Amino acid sequence: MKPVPRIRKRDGELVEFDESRIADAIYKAALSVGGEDRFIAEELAGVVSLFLEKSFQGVIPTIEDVQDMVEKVLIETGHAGTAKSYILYREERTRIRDAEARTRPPVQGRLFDPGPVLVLDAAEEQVGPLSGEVLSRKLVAEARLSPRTADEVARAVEDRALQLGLESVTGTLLARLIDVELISRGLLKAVDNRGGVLVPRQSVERSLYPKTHARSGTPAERIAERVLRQYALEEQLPRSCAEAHLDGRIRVIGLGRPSALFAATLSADAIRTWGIPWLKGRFRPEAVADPRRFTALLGRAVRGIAPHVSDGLSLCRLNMLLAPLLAGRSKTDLREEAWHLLSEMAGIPGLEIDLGLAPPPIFASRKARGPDGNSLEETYARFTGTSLQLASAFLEVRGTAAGLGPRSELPRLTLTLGPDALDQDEVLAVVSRAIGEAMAREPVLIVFDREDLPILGTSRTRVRMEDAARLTDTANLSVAVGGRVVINLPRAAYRAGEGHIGDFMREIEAQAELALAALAARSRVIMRSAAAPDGALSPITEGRGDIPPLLNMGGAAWSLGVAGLNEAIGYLTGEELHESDEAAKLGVKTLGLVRLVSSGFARAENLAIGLDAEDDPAICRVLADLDRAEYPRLTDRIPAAYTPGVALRSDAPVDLAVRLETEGRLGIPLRTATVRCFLGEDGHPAPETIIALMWKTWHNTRVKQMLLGRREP
Amino acid sequence: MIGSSTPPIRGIIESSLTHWDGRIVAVVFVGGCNLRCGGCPSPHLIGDGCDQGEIPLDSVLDAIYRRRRWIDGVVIKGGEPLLKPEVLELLELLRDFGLEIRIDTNGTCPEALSEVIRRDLVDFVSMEVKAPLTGQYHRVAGTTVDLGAIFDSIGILLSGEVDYEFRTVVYDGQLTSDDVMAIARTIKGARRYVLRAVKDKGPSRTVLRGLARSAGRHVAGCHVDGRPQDRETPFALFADGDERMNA
Repeated sequence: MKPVPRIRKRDGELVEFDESRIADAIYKAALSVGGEDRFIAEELAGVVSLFLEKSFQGVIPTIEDVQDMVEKVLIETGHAGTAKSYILYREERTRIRDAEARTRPPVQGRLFDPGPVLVLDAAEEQVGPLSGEVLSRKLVAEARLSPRTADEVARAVEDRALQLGLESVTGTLLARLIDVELISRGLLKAVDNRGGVLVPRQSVERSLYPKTHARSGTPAERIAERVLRQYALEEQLPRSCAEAHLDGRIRVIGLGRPSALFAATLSADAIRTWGIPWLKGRFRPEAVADPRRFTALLGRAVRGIAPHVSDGLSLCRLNMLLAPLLAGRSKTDLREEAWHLLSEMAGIPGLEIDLGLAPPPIFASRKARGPDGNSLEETYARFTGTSLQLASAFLEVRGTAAGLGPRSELPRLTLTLGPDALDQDEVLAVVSRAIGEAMAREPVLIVFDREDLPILGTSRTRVRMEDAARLTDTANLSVAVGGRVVINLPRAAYRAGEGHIGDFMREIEAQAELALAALAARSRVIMRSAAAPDGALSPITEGRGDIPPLLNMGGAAWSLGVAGLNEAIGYLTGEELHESDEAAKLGVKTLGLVRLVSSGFARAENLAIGLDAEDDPAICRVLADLDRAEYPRLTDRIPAAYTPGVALRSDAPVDLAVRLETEGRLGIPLRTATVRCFLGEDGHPAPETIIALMWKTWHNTRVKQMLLGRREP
Repeated sequence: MIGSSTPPIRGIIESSLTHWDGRIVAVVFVGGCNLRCGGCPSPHLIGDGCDQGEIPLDSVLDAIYRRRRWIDGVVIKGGEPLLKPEVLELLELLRDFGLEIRIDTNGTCPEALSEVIRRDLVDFVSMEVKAPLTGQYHRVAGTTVDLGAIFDSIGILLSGEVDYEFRTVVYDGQLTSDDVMAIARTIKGARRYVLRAVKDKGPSRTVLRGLARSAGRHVAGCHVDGRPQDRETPFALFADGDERMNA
């Protein structure tokens, strides 16, 4: 045990600890009550010194600490009289010091109250003296230390700063000093509790001055996303899930925006009925009965929601819900309204406009909402003609994009076909137009809505509305998909090794469990954010008075993604999905296992979790990159990017029929999967041929979505 | 082994969206041709020797059977499929699958054409008329052609016993607008005439449209096909199906 080397005076100055001065003080106090043995005073001073060493290991005691210790030693060693004299002497000295302090003129020329070290806290934009007391309180709150330990650590940090001869410290350096102190005391848990996110200067500079044009967002957004991603990984996800994300077994989507939803679908009828909940004042539907006004209001609502959604946002069955406002208008008028709506929605990232063609009867038989927001006697089926013409107008106006700026900034259009849609001539006219657009310009997504209850969502995740009761009102057709975590299927195969199917299945199960745990953690963050008053999501997840929330988080869905099934099976069996029926069967079995694990978890956690194909090329590339880094020996066998979701390789030598049948079969356990059909390789198919293909796809398979186009974008 | 006396099958496209408008079809390529056209897209099919790689009929039928829920019909192409009498047996086998059948012919075998129509083995015939029926025909076909046979085939189709189309492939510097007009006069009254430009070797689509407009004076349905349409609005092309020039 080291003797106490120094003590700190009241003015902060450090002086050598001198045991003889303690002995002097004790001796003086003893003399005042009749004592005269200098030797006893020196012995007692030795005890004080010993106790100080024990109590202040590595920490510099203050004068007050030393005096407290003298009192304690005198009392505990039976020298009550001397102790009393000593205490009275101390009180007298304190009184005199206070009186002197009151009469002393204020120090001139110093901006801040005397503090030995200034803390320049850039994060809080504050500067002030380093205060052991404040530091101690923060340590109790942040590091969850006991007040006593917090005091000790705070004092040690203060001393360290003094010893280093610093006049000022930055907030960052102070944080590091605290961490060093905690670590040197073995208080690793406290370091963990404090957490904290550090952004290296170089990262900040890269965000400010990016070297490529590929970096999206503003510097502020990029830095914020980086910080929030780090925070989410270190603080919000279980450690095992964070590790799995970082090493590439799973991919947690949207970590840079931890409180944002993954996807959302909005019903235009909700806005027509209740307005926008975050706008104060009473909403009068009749004030936006004019379609152009309603378009502006809808645009405002979508722009308000968009920042809270990380992947995609859609307006469901928009042509159908707007039809009552536009009944009887000419085709020219409808094109004009479509133009205004597309213009209003331009530049909103990830926005999709879902055009419903021949929706399921339960949907079409709802009473239509009139221009003033009230229900009409007529159902939506009565407005089918206008609805289809409006869909056609959207396709035409977006196709030409005249006066609308770059097409890439316009919302994407998707066509949702209900049962029998492909048997109705008036629907086929709209489909033909969409095919024309797909073959001439950009691929178009066709969604097959096969069941009685409609599906809602975006191109990457869709949810079937199981709650038929909610369908009594089309204003209820809004859905939130809270988050997505993707399972890297090829990783399970590499971990298991070629041919080890049993081990592969165990790895798949383990990765699925990790992904589900991460999804549950994400759900807790999102739900907390939605429930917190003035939380990030509260404007769209909280109602106001009689107005229900725009998005009902109670009914939120969650998405478990899968990617690279083709490469996983290919590595495991030596045959890709298109190469043998056995390979495809193993693919189905793998997905069945993931679904089984996910269903059990969903029940236990009471979360509506569905399986979706992850088809984002960026994510498929990241997963492949991580696998190459983890398995350098497989570099030649791992492609630049994995095949999206459960699809066959895009250049697999199979015809469209085999592709549709196989991918349709693989997609059965999934909630959302898209078959990519690029038809321009061998010429230009006639629209009626493509319609025949769609008809057969509907009837011969369980394909959920087709992306139709001339060639891969 | 079925079909021991069927024609040599040299290729198959299991499912195609571009060989018969409105239908998803399998395309069977039969070897052997009696013409030697300069720009033949399938020169490997001209010869009919066994050394040229024959696909067993069983495999062809198996591929078609496995796609029975997808394909509406089969297109028989060549070479010249009607050159071999064995093609009748192939057509009969395919008929047993309940599939619609289209034959693409060069019109040099009118007897075989009559026979397949008479026996109801074909639903649609697409006949290529390569040039005006003059000495120019021999030059375009790269060999001496029996123009009488071509006339006869045209007559058989114009009689309307089976659905049909005539088509002409237009190469730059080979056919003029007068030539196309001459062909159109020969097939006057035909239901459908398709002009096709060969990719990178044919006239622009605008020129082709002009030709079609002229030909439209003699033929009711004159179509332009086979050229990428990047610079055109899709809706003009697809709102009413194909681009159509009426007389």
